[in-house]
Amino acid sequence: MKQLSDEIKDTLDLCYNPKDVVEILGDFNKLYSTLESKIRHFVQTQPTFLDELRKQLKTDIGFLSPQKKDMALSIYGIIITEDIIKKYDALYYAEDISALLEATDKKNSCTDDEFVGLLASFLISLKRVTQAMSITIQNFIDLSSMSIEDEIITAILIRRNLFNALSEANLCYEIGEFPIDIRFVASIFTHSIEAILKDQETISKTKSIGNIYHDLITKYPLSEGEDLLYDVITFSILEPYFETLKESFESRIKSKKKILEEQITIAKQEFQIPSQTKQDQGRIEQMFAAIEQTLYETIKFRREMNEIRRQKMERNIEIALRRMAIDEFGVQDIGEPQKYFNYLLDTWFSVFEEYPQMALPLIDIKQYSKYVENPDEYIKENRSTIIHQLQFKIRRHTGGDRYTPTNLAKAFSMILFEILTNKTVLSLSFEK
Amino acid sequence: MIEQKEIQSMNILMTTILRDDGNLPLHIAKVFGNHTLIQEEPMKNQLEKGLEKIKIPEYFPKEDITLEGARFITWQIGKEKTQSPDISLIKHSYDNNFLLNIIISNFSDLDILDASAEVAFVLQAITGIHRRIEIPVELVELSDEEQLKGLKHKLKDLGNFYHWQIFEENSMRGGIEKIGLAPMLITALLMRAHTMHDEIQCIGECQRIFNKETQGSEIKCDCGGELVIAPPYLKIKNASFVFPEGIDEIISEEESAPSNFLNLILKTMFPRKVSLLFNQFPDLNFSTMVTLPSSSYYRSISTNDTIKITFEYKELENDDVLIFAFVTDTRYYDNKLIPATSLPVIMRDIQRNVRGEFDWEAAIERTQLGDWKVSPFISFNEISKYATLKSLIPGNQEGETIE
Repeated sequence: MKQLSDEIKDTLDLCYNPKDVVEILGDFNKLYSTLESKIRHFVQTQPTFLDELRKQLKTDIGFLSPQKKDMALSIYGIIITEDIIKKYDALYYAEDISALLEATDKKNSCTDDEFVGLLASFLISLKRVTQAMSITIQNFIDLSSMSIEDEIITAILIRRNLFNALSEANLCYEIGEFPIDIRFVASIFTHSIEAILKDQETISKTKSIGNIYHDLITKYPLSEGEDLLYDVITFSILEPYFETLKESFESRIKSKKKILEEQITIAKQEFQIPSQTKQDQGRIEQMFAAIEQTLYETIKFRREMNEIRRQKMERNIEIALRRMAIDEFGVQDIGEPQKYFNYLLDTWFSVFEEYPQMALPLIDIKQYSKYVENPDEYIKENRSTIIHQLQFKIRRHTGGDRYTPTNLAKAFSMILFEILTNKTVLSLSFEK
Repeated sequence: MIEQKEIQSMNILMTTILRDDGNLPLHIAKVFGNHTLIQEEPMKNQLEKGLEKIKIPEYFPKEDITLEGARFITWQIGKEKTQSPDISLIKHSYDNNFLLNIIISNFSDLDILDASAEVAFVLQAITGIHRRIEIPVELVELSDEEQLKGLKHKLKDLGNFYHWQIFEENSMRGGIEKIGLAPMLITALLMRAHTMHDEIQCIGECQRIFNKETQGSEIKCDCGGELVIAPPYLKIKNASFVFPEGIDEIISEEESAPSNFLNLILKTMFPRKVSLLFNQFPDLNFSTMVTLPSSSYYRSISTNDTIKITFEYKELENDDVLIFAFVTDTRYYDNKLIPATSLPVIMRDIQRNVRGEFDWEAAIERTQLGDWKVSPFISFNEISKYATLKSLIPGNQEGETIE
C-alpha cells in the first residue's frame, strides 16, 4: 500500500489509469514465452514439492489430466517461489483454476498450450487487479477525506477507477483470445477487496476467487457484454463492500481529513498574500510602459491610431520582451517561448483594468449586455475565455510559428491596433 | 465555490427502453439541479411525469449522420434583453434504448462532446442494468413496476454523478473543443426566418395545439383544459447557400442536396414537444422564449466523423431573424475547402457587415470565402426542388433540377 499522499488533490486526479492493450500484450507475451521452460525446469528440479502438493490437492484438482496437473502445480510453485502473488493458498489456487476453466468454457477441452496461455492471462490479471485495487483504495481514502457525499464517492470509484480496472482485467484474457465470464473477472476484484480487508483485520478470512464466482453466478444471471460493467461492479463490488471499507479505513480517513484541513488553512493564508510577486509586477509595469502612451492618447485624447504609432508600440514591446527574458534567464532567446506569451498575458489584464473597453473584441458578443453592465466583473469571470480568444488571435498573427519576441511583439501590436481602430471600442467609455 | 451556488440549473435525463416480445416500452425521466421550479417535490414529480410521456425514440431516426448534441441560446421576445438561460441537449442510443439529456442553466460553457461521453456511459449502464433485472434470479421475476422502480433508482444515482461533475466538480466545462482530425468548412447558409407566435396549446387532458386565429378568444379547450399561448418558434422563409466551386466533386451528390443541409439545421431545433411541456410550467418562462441553436454536433456512425454547425443570429424588425449557419465536417479534405480554424474570423466579418439579405453577397466577398459561390435566396418550399448545391446558381440549373 502506498503512503498517505499529502498533497491536496483534485477529484479528477483520483482515477485509475489502466495499462493499454500494447502493454498488456507485452506482459502476456513475456510471461507466456518463459512459462513453458520454467514449468519444465520446475518439474525437473522440484519433484518433492510437486509430490507433496499433489497429495494435498488430490481431490481439488482431480478434474485435470495428469499432464495439466503437473503444469498447474508447477505454476503454483513458480508463483510461490518467485513471489508473483503473495500469500496464495494452495487450496484457493485449485478452486480458482477450476472456476477459471469454467468461466472460459475450457473445462472439457483445453490444449496444453491453451492451458499455459490461460494461466498466463490469469496471473497477469491478478497482478493488474491487485495494483488497481490498491490505487482505488488510496483514492477512496482521499475522496472520503474531502467531504464528498458517499453516493458521489461510489460513483467516482466506479466510473473512474473500477470501470477502467475491470476493462483492463478483461483485456488480459481478450489478448489471449479467451472470452471470459465477466463475473469471474469481477470475482477477482471482490477477492482482492477481501484480501485488503483481511490485512486491515476487518475480516478474518477471505473467500477464494472460485468460491466468490460460484456464489455470484447464482445471484447475477448475465456473463457478457460491455454494458454490464457498471452493473456488475456496483452489484458485486461496491454495494456489498462500501460500508465495510468505510469502517475499515475510518482512522486513516480521519487523519487524512485533518492533514487536508490544515493544508487548506495554510493555502488560504498563502492566497491572501498578493499572488503576484514583485518580479511579476515589475514585468507588467515594463510592458505597460511600452504601450501606455499610445493607449492613453488614442482612448482619452482620440488621437488617430496609425501604422507609425503601431510600429512604435511593436518596437517597444519587443525591447521589453527581450529585456524580461534577459532579466529572468540571462539570454534574449529563451527555450520556452510560452514564457514570452505569459509575460504578455498579465499585461493584458492590467490593460483591461485601466481600459475595460479594450476587452470588447475578445468577448462573446451574445454576452455584450452583461459585459457592459459590469465590465470588470465580466472580465474577471471570463478570464479563461478571453485568454483563449487572445491566444487564438496571437496564433493567427504569428502564423502558428514558434513564439519569438519579434513575432509576438508584432502580433501584440497588431491586435492592439485592431482594437484601437474599432469604432465601438472607442465609443465606449467607463469612467473610473 | 460560492459562485457555483448562484448557478441555476436543471438537468434532465429521460430514457426509453424498447422491449421485445410485445412488452410496452419503459419510460423513465429524472430531473436534477437547483432550479426554483424543482425545489418542491410535487412540481418535480409533475415535470418528470410529463417528460415520461414524450416519445423520445422519434428523435432517433435510423440514419448514419445523427445529432449527438446541441447548444441553444434563448431570448424573450418583446422584452428587453436580459439574462436568459442557455440550454444544451445531448442524445444517445444503445441497442434499442434511448436517452435524451437537457440542461437548462445560466452558464454556457458545457463541453458538449465531453458531456456526451458521460451521457453515453449513463445509457450504457442503464442498458446493462435493465438487461440483468429482466431475467428472473432464483425463480424470482420482477414485475414491470419493480423493474421501473429499480431503473429509476439507478438513473438517479447515475444522473446525480453526471450533474455533480458539471456543476460541482466543474469538469466538462470550458476548455478547447476536441474535434478529431481537421474539420473543414464546407458550406455556409444565410436564412431569413420569422419568429412565429401563433399557436395555442391546451395544458389539460388533450394537450392539443390550436392556431391563435381559429381558436379566437376561447380560454377553455373542449376537453375542459386551460388554453395558453404556446412558445414561439422559428419559421424559415428562405435561404442562400455559400459553397466552394466544385463542391459537388468533393462531397457526394446525396450530401450536396441543399435540402440535406436544411434538414441538418431543422433537426438541430429544440424538440417542440419538450418546449410545449416546459411551457406548462410558468417558472420556466417558455411562453415567450425563443430557443435557437448556437452549435450542433452530428456524428457519422459509420466513420465516427463529426459534422458541426455553428450558428449566429441577427435580429431584424418585425420579429424577423437572420440566421447564419456554418457547416464544418471532418470527412472531407480538399484545397478548395477552408479549415474550420478560420471560422471565427469569417463569422465575425460577416456578422459585422450583414444587416439584411441584401448585404450578404457583398459581405461574403470581403471574407476568406470571397471566391466561393453565393446562391440567390431560395424560398423554403422551393429548396427541395434543387438536386445539388451547384444547381442553385443561376445558369447551372439546366437539366439538374428535379421535377
